Amino acid sequence: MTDPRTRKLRRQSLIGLGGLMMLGLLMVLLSRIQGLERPVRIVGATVLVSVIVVWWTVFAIRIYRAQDEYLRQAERVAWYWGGLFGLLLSFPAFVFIGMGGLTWLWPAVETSPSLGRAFTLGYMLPLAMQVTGALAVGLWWRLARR
Amino acid sequence: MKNRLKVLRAERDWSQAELAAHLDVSRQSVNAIETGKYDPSLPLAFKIARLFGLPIEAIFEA
Repeated sequence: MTDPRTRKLRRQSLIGLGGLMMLGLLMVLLSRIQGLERPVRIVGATVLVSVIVVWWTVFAIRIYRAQDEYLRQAERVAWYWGGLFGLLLSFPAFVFIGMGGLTWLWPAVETSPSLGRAFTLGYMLPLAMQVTGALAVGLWWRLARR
Repeated sequence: MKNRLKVLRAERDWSQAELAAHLDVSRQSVNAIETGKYDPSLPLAFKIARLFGLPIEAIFEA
């Protein structure tokens, strides 16, 4: 027998992930449509990603509410320590790749200053957003409990 | 933190899932609390105490 809370959590997770996969599939289909103008493709992809963000926000909240305190604590530990260690491990990899380490190992891998800048931007954007988000939520949490 | 949750549950012949349903938590939570690997929050400890009709200190001890 499964307890009602676990059943609810599984249901929310399945719907959330299922919907996410369907939207991801739409994203792939959009990228494969032939003859679309570039602005249409860019706007279409941006709108679709925004829908994905809204979808996942809604289900992140629903999944969080379906969890009990033990599972929430597990998530906090996993995101804090797992996220921190994952981030720390990524730094040497970032420097190695950023300095052309892949090209050194496999000369066939293309490298250029513009690719290097794109790689740095791609690495820094989610990192900066995640750190900013964590700082903002941390500040809000403290202020709300003063 | 030690507790008597497993004994109290056994006295009522409840499974972990049944106790979890009474407390509105997951079965994993009940298991983790019973084995002393997770200490419940104060609200959950009060809920457990109310369910068994006992004071908190009769169920949990430091």
